[in-house]
Order: sequence, then structure tokens, then C-alpha cells
Amino acid sequence: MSVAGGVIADRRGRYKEVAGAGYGTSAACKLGLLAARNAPWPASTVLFADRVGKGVRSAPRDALISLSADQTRLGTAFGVHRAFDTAGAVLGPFVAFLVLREAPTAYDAVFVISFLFALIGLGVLVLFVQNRHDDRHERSATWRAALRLLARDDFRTLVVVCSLFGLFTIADASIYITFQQRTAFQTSYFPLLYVGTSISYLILAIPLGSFADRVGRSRVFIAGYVLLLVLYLLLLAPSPGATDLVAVLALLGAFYACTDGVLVAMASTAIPRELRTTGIAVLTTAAAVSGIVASVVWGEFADWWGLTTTVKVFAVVLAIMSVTGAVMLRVRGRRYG
Amino acid sequence: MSSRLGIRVAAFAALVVVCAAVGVAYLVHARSENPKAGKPHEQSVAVAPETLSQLMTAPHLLFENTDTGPANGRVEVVPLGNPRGARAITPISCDRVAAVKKVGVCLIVDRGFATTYKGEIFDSDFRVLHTFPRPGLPSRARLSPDGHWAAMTVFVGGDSYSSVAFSTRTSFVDTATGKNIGNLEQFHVTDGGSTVTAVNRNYWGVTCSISAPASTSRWPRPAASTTRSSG
Repeated sequence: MSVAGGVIADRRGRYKEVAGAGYGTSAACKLGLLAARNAPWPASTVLFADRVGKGVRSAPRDALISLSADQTRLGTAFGVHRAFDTAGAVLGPFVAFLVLREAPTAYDAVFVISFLFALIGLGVLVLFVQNRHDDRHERSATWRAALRLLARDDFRTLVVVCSLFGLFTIADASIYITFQQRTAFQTSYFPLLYVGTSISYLILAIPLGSFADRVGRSRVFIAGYVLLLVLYLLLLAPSPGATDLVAVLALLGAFYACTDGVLVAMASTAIPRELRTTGIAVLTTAAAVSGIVASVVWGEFADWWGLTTTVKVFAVVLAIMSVTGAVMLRVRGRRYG
Repeated sequence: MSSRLGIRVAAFAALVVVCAAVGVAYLVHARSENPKAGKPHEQSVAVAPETLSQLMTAPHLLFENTDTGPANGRVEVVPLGNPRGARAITPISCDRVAAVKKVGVCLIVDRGFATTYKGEIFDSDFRVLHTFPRPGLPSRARLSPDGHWAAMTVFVGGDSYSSVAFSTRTSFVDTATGKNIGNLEQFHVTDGGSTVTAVNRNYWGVTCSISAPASTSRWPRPAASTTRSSG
């Protein structure tokens, strides 16, 4: 869905419309969830539609950012977007908490208010965002062009590196569970771990994005995975305590600040304008697929070997990958700006 | 261009105002559905501690008030002779409650940024003697007739990979010492004299009986029976 949306957005230069359709779908799903109540199938369908909306909207939105920002400051631009995006993700649960404190059983109010915020966001997109038309390029986006992108050495390298890294990136929830299993804190505090990670991410997204623009994006990208490696080692600490938990959350946020927006900034330099959305969609889809594989592999390994051995294996491979990635991305040559 | 922008800003302002109005209206409506905000149908009254002690020493009914109004969720007491009379409000609130003469057990949902659950043992003056963190939503609270044992049953999720259904977990505690005796699923169970050996046993709750029961449970077998969770 993401790549299909990308091709449509690129072919017509309609980034805003495709992104709007994605954001609109997700907004409508808030009301859909309200209507589905707790019937499992309707609720699953609505959640699926919500994720499709997310898949469709992300690439054209990132393409718009990359086409609107100063090309020397792409890391900063994506950092600003990710910081605000994450700030919303932190404020959302907080608003939900306040609503439920006022009306303890009014879960419907949470969905209605979330829908209203989504509507305001959609209003900003529709009323103030402008498509970046560039008439010098013919609109050449097709499925075949999407495949031909992979023939470009700089783009293909990025897809390969990011898929390989994805294979050895432990999902957030698995990191939290590993920590929880080793310390036996109450699982009811899980939502707070997401909040902690998000706070670290939102604080660091802009400074690290702008740092990436100055010292080289691929360097900061690789540094992110080195931080993740440090996090894995912390998970293996003999008797993890509260300080380790804070460090784990801070490192996870820093990892995202070094890699998420920075990756798209790097990709923007490797994808021609007329295929920007398609290229970003291909890259993020590859990352998502390797993330799914990673989660399954992690689950199987954790079942066979136990959590700590699995973390050790992932750490060793990640260390090797960091060196390989640094070579492949030609970190010293500042290939991606 | 500037007038175009003006129109856009005005349209956006209108959108924000409409969304804010709908949001506030919905919140006000939701608040009015809060059971604590509703009008009470029964009369709940605050009483002096001495009056409450008097009520507690005479035959009485103790229950959780599920009526709407400010006393919703409070544990209340009425004399057995006049159950329709005014309800005396006690200092504690529970989502499930059971009590015998000198001791009671109370299961509570602690709503907060991270919602937690706990069970409490309280005495006849409603002082909390022991607190136990619980893994899920309260289902049942029971006491043995002599008040020696309390059973706390809560709903838990995630026991099964194949469905999102919940199951229950029951723990026994010694009300005097506060010692947690363990999870009912780890007990040695006999039914009509023969040992129950089924791997999965799902208990819905506990009823204590004064006379010798047909089905009994003994204290846990040694550590070997501890349930192993994989991932």
C-alpha cells in the first residue's frame, strides 16, 4: 500500500492529497473503533485500516518535507518533524489519562477527542501545506521505475544496509520485556516505558538531526546502532536497577533520533525528485519487512536459548553489522551528505 | 495571496473552535455518566466512628455501594434488622469486598497513569493490615468463615497464545500474618476423594464451606509444580 501510494503521489505530484488520504483514513478509524466497540473482528479490521492509513501517509509526507527543506539541512528538517510527531505521541496518553481521571469509564470520550485532534491535524495539512510542483521533471513514476531505483548503487546500498540492521534490531516491546523479566517490575508500568523512550527521542531528534547535517548523516546513522549495541550490553548487566532502566530508555530514544529521520534524510539525497515518495516507500517497506522477520527470529531464539543468550547473539551480530554498515555507507566519504 | 491566506486562517480557526466545542461538550456529557457524578437513589450517610463501631458489633450487612452518587464505590454498612435504612459510609472503597466478624478483604483498582491492582486485608475498624499487589482486574473476594484465610481472584490476560481471552488467578493469604499461601492452580486438588491431574485447571473463584467439603484443596506441592511461562 505504501509503495502504491508512493507511485500515485509521484506520478501526479499529489503528495499532499495522498498523505491527506492516509491521515484521513487514520482519523476516520478513531470513530470506527468507537463504533466497533469490543467486537474483535470489526475492531481488528479498523486497526488494520488505521495501519494502512499510516503506511500510505508516511512516504508522501516525508517526500514533502524533503522537497520543502533546504537540502543541506534535511537531517534537521526530519528531526523537527520527528520531535513534534513524538511530542504528540507523549501528549496523547497524557490527555487520555486526564480524560479518564475526569470520567473514569468514558473510553469513548478518549476516541472522540483523539478524532478531533486528528481532524485539526488534517486541517493544517489541507489548508496550509502546498505541493511542491517541479515542472522540469516529467512525472515518470511507475512500478517499473520503482524497481529501477534499486539499480542505483547509492539507493540500493541504503536499502540493503537498513534491511540488514533491521534484522538485528530488537523491537521496543521485546527490549522492555527483557528488562522486565530480568528485574520483575510490574508489567502495568509498561506504558510508561514507551513514554520514557518518546521523551528521550523528542529531546534528541532535532539536535542529533542537525548534528548529522554537520558531521555527516551516515556517521550519525551508524553511531545510532552503536548506541543500540550499548543498550544490548546494558540489558545483560548482572543486576539491572532503576538507573539502568533510565539509561535503556535514554539510549533507545537516542537510537531513534540518530536513525529514523536521518535515514530518510540520507535516502532523499539518493532518490531523484520525481521518484521521492516511491523511493522512501520502498526503503521504509524494506525496513518494516526486516523488522517483522527480526521479531519472529527474536521470539524463536528467545524460546530456544532464553533471553540473555539471544541478546548476546544479537549484540555480536549488531557489532559486526555496525562495522560492515560503516564500510558500505562509505562513512568517511560523506556519501549521503 | 494574503487574502487567500486570510481565508485559510479563518477556516482553520473555525475548525479549531468547532472541534474544541464538540470536545468540551462530549467531555461534559462523559463526566455526567461518571457514577460519582450521578444522583443517589439510596441514602448514604457519613457517621461518627463510634456509631460505625456499634453497627459493626451488632449483626449487619457490609457491601460495596454501586449506587450512583458521591459514595459510589464506598464500602457501606446497614444493620441486619433494617437493610433498607440509611447506609453508613465506611472509610474504605473497594471494587470487590468480603468481610466476617473481625476481618475483611478488599480488591481495588488503582486508576492512574499506569493502572495497578491491589488487595487489602482490613480489620473491623477499617484499618488496612496487609496489602498485596494483584496482577489484574478484581473478580472475587472471599473469606473463610473464621476469617483466617482470604481468597483473592483477579482476571489476567496472556495465559494463552492462541486467543485474547482472559483467565483468572486466585491467591490465598493468611489474614493474620499477611503471608501469601500461593496460587490456587499450584494446589493439590481432590474431587470426591480422587486427585485431579488435569494439566489446565481454570478456577472461577472460591467458596468456603463450614462443613467438611466433598472437594478439597491442600497446600501447594513443592516447587516442582511451579508454572513455567515461556516468553
